Amino acid sequence: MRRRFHIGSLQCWAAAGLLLALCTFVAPAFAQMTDEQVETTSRQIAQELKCPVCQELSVADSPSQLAGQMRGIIREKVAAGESREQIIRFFEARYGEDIQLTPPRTGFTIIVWIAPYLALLAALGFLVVMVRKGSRNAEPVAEAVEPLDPYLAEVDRTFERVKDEPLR
Amino acid sequence: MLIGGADIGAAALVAGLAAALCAIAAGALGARSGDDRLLAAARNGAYVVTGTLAVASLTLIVAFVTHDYSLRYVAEHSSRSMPTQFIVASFYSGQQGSLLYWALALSIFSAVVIRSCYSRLRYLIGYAIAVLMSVEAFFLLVLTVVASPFERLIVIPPDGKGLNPLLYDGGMLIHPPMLLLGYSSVAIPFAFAMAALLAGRVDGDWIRATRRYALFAWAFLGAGNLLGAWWAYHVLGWGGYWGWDPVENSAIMPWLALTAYIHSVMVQQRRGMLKVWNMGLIIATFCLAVQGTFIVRSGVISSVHSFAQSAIGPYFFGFLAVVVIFSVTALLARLPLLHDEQRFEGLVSRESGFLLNNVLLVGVAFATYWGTVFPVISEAVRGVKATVGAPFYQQVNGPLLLLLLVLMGLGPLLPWRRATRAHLRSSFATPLAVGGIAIIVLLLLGLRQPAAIVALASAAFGAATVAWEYWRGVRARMRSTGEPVVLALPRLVTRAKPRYGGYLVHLGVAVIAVGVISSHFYQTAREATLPVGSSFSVGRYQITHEGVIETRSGDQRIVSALLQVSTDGGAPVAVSPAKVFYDSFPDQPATHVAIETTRLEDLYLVLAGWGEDQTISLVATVNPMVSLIWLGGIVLLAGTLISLWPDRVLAPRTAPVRMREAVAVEA
Repeated sequence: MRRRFHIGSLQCWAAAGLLLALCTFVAPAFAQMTDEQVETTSRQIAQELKCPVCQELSVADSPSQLAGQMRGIIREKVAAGESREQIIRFFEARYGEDIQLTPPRTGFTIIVWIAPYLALLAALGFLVVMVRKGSRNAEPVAEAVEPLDPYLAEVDRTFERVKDEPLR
Repeated sequence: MLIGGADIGAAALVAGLAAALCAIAAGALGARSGDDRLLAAARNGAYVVTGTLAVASLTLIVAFVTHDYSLRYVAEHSSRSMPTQFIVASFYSGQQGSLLYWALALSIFSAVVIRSCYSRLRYLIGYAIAVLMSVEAFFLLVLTVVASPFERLIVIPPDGKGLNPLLYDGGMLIHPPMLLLGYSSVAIPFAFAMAALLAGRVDGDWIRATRRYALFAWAFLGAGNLLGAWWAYHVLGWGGYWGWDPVENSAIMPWLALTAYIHSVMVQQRRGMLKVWNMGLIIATFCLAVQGTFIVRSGVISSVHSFAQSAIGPYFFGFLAVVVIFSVTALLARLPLLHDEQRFEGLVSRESGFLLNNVLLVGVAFATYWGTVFPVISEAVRGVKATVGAPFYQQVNGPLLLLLLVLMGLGPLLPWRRATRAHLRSSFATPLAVGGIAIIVLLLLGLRQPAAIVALASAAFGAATVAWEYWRGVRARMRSTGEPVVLALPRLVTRAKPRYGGYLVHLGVAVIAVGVISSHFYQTAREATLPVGSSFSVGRYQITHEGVIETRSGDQRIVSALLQVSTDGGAPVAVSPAKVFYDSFPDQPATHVAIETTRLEDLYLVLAGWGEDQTISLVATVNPMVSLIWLGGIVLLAGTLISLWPDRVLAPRTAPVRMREAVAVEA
């Protein structure tokens, strides 16, 4: 069940990503976007880019002037119908690969995405094996008590017999 | 030349180092031989360390208050024009001072724990003192050799440099001390765990003796993180409260590991299982706490928190290596003693709930660690520095945190050992129904994002579990004692403080979760360039720009935008976001965010820029439910306080039968 969650969640993210990509590809087809749509899309793109003069802040969140200019460029490009991919490529060409706030999910940097899930799956597997083993071994413990049972039965019988006899 | 106060401080640190070394030797030897005189010597040595650190700290505070700029640390972190409370806070604003603060805090905790456990846990105390004093000795060594707060300047400047403008905030007075207290107090449970391994007495005594300290450390780490989030939200001006910055990550990791520890020791205390795992967790927590202290104060990773650069790096790496090697060796050597007394009996049980909780918490900590170190790995392997930013942590940790939230609702309802179907049905029906109703209500309110709906419903489920557990306890008491609710509730809580305090902590987490989820999914931001007299709207708010004014106060030049905000077309309220320029740091203006809170929603206004003609560029963010994060934090701390609260020591007497029955029902 837990395993299914993980595959499910990956699929979920993949689907979300696909949907986002689809939206940005299909968007230009609908001639003009409303102001609000441009704003939302621009913000999503700005959240994926690192502000070059800040420490670990996205272009969307940075109060710096450069980030403000970059937001302006993103907004213009979105309004002009450019796709998310195109816009990110544009900034990547200027500032290098680490302008993206997250490493790409291809090549070497895919490890950063996979490792946490692999570790988690391994831990869960270990856990299930341990609990299974424990609950299987629980039965022999119960059986070990059994040899006492005939003795206890004998005690009960003796007690029943003695109970009614008058004390001597 | 006269002996100045600073020389007394420096001498006190050297004396403290000597005392710590003596205490280590006496503690270790006393623990082996059981010699009372050696143990007493170790204890007194620890008290002397506390005394010397108090003297050194006092000396430094006096130097700050009297503007003694012959000390490099005082000259670099304060100035004459600073308000007194910030001058005192400068004590821990730099590397040397915060290390001194760390060592002082740990020495005070050590003295308290040694005093209270000295006669009760004689077989552990010698080793515990030796471990605690080893940690102290390391800090004292660093403080005397590489990072002395009492270093002299040859040329004495007339005035100091002052504090970085970002630090001029109320947050400065509470966030760093809380976090540093949290970091340092983790050493107490760690030291007793090591003592248990060294003494070969690995029963639950060390856990019982340090339970309060572990909770105390947990509360301070938690409060430190929350206050950091609150400070970032009010001061940094980017509209958020948590950026997954390396320093934030290294502050949250020990808290996560300690959270796992606090849960899994319950399994050891109740069922005698997971002994090795608990040892491993407390070792990991301590290492992460040391690393957190080191990262925040070394500048090894670039971050908004890096206010200091220096040569303490190799010392900390060496110390961490020694801690890891020593504790893992001790753990491996005692492995034969750490066998579990009982076994797992069912896949659906409280035990496996705790285990899953641990796997998830450690999983989040691991993913966070991995993301933090990955840029370094990437640079080493391919020579390209990768950026691992907030989206990575949100996407990887988000689902795990959601699972934890669900588990927080499930766990307390699961029985120990093995669950039966009937038991599950009777305990889960109500909380699950509340979760289901929450989904319907959220849909009716117009929420459409599946992730947000599931997450909010999970928080509701978690809160419902807490309410249900409280209600079950209160009902049982009312039935057996005939008390009214107003009496039954407080009496129930005081009878089982750890349990009901813990539930309150869960409630706090659920409230925080609602704040985080809502502000994450439903934040809206708009940026506008506004000439004087123009207006724009964001969400329910209409914002009108009325002009820019510049004022001076002391050593600050303040540029503020005068804005009128009306909500839902109501009466306008004046607000003025501003930028503040300090004379000593003219190119690092501080942001004064204007935050208007109405109906649990924050309108967050940042003045990003302005022109000659008073045209401003404004960033307006609407953050729903952020107030719930701070409110949940208060609930969480109140719950921890209840859990920590000591029982009144009563003279033993026989309880009336009815009362005993009531207690039995609760338990």
